[in-house]
Amino acid sequence: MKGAFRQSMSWLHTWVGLLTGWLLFFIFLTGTAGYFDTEIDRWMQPERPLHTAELPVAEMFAIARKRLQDVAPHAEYWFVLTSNRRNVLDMRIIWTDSTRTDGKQNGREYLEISSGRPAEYRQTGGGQLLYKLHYQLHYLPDAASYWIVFLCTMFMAVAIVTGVIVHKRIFRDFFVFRPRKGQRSWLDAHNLLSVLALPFHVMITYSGLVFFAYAYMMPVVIANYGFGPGNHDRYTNELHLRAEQPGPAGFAATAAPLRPMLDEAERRWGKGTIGQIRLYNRGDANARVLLKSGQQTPARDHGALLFDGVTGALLKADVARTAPRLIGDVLLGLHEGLFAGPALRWIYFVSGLLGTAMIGAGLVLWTTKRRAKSGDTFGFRLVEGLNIGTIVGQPVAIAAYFWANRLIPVGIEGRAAWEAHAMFIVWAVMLLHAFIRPASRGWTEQLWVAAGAFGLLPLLNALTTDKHLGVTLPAGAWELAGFDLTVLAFGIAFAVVAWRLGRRHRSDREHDQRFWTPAYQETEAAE
Amino acid sequence: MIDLAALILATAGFAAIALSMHRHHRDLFGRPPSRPRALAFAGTGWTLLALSFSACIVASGWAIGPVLWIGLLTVAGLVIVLALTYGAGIVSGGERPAPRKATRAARGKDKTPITHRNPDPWLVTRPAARPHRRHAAGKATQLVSQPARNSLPIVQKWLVC
Repeated sequence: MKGAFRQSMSWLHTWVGLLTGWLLFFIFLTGTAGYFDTEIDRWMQPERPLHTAELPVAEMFAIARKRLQDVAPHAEYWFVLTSNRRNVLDMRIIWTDSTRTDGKQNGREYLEISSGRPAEYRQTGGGQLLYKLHYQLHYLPDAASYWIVFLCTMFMAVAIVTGVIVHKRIFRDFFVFRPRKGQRSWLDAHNLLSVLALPFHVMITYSGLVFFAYAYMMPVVIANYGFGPGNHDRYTNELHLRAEQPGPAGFAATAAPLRPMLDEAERRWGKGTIGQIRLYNRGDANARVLLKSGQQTPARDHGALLFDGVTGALLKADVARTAPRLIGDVLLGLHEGLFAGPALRWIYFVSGLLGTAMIGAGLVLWTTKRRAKSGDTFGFRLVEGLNIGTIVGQPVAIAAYFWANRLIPVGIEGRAAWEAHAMFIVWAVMLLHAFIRPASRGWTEQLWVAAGAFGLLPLLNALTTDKHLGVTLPAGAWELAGFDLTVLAFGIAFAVVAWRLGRRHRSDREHDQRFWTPAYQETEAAE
Repeated sequence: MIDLAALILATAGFAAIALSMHRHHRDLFGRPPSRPRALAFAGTGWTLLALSFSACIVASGWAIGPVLWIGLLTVAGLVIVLALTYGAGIVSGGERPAPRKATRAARGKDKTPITHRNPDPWLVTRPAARPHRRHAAGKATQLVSQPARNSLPIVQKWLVC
C-alpha cells in the first residue's frame, strides 16, 4: 500500500512537473531577476547619475511642492511619493484639479530628487518589466495571465508536496551529489536544489498563491460583501485599510504647517521612513493630511497617520491589523523581500536561481530517464526541444532584452515596447533553433550563444554608455558595477558548461568512430 | 560582519553534521564513524547551527533574523555539497585519495565493449565510456591507504583523533 502510494505520487510529480515546468521556469527566472529590479532599472537608464541622491523627507517635500505649485497650484489633491527607499528611484507626484476645464484634471510626474525637474531618461521597461513578467505574461490580458500563473503555482505546490513524499532519503542524501553518473547525477542535482532551498520554495509558492487569493476565491468575497462594483469597492477599501476622507466643506481656510506633522511621523517610525504624503481638500476647511510609512519590514508595514490639515491635530494613527491580515501580510512581505538588505537580497537571488535550476534539472531528468527507451518518438523530441529553448533559450532572451536596451536608438517611437518584442522574438528564434538542430548540437550551440550574450554585455555597455566598469568600479557605484559583474559571471558560467559539453561530445564522437566498426560489433556479438 | 560570522558558523555546523553521516565520514576518513564519534559530530553541528541562529538574531533582530538564517542555511548547504563533491582533494591536503592503480583500472575499462545500441552521445548510462581522472573518486573510500591517512593536514588529524 505504501509503495503504491509513493508510486502514484511519483507519477503525479513527474507529469505535473513536465506539464508546467517550462512556464514555471519562466516564472522563477523572471521573478528571480525581479529581486534586483531597481538595480536593473538603473542599468537600463544609463543617463541616471552614478549615485542616487538622498535627502531628508522635508527637503524632498519642499522640492515636490515647488514643482506642484508650478504645474497644479489649484489642485485639491496632492500626492507625493518620496524616494528614500531602495525600490523607489524617483520622486513621484500626482495631482487632481477638478477646477481645470482643459481635460487635464489628473496628472502625474516623476521628479529627479536633486534638481526637482521631471526625470527624462530613455524609455524602457527596465527591471520592472522583468519582474512583472512573472505574473503578467506580457501579451496576454492580466486576468488570463493571473489564472495561468495561478494554475502553474498550484501545480508547483503539488509538485513540492509530492516531491517530498517521493524523495525517500531526504536526510540521508542531504549533502549527496554524485557527478558523472548520468541519470543518477541529474536526480541528485534535482533533489539537492529542491532540498537545500526547500523553505524558500515552499514560502515562495504558497505566498504566490496568497497574492491573488482575492481573484481565485471571488465567491468568498461575494458571499461576504455582495455583488456589484460598489460592494467590491467596500471590500477593497477595507482590505487596504483605506479611510474614507470627508468631502470639501466649500469654504477656504489657512493650512497648518506640515513640518510638525512630518516630525511627529518620524518620531513614531524613525528618521527617513515617511513614504507617502497625501493632501486632501487643499485650501478647504476640511483639509486632511495623510502620511504613510515607507518602511520595509517582513510584515509589510502599513503605518499611517491622519492629520487635520487646518488645525494640525492628529485624527487617526496606525490602524491595528487583525491576526489573519497580519499573517497574510507576512507571507506577501516574505515573497517580495523588499525589506532585504544587500546580503539577504543576494540570498533571495541565489535561492531563486536554485529554484529555477531545480525546475531545469527536473525537466532534463525527464529526458535522461526516457532517452534509451523512447528517444526517437515525437513526444520525446518535443520535450527535448522545449527543454533546450527554455533552459538556455529564456536566459538568452533576457540577455537580448538588455542588448535591445543599448542598441535601439534613444527617442524613437515605442522604444520600450520594442525592447520587450526583441526579447520574445529572440526566445522564439531559440525555440525554433532547438527543434531544427539535433539535440546535442542544440544544447552546445545555444549555450555558446548564451555565453556570448551575457559575457559581452559589459563590453557593449562600455561601447555605448559612459557608465561602464571602468567608471563604476573606481567610483564605487556597486549597483551599476554589480549588474555588469553578474552578467559577466553568467557568461563565464555558460561558457564553461558549453565548453565541457562540447568536449564530451567530441570525445564521444571519437570514441564512436574508433569502436563503432563492423569488426568491433562482431567481437561484441561474440562476447 | 555578524552576517559573515553567522554564515561561517552555519557552514561549519553543516560540515560537522555531514561528518556525522555514514557516507561522508567514510569518504573523508576511509571508514564509517563510530557511534560516539557520530554523536559528537552531530552534537557539535547542531550547536554551531544554534550559534549561527543567535548571530542572525543579533545581526538583524527577530523580524528579519530568522529569514536571514534560513537563507544562510541554503548557502551553507550549497558550500558543503560542493566541498564534499569536488573538494575532497583540497581537504586531504592535495593528496587525491585515488591511487594510480585505480586510474589505470578506469582507463583499462575504457576499452571494454560498448554494450548499448544507440550511438547518441547523450546516452550517459554507458559504462565508463570516457576515462576521467575523477572516475575513480567513487572508489576512493576503500583505497585510502594508511600512509595517506597519516599525512592528513593538521585540521583533519585533529578531527580524527
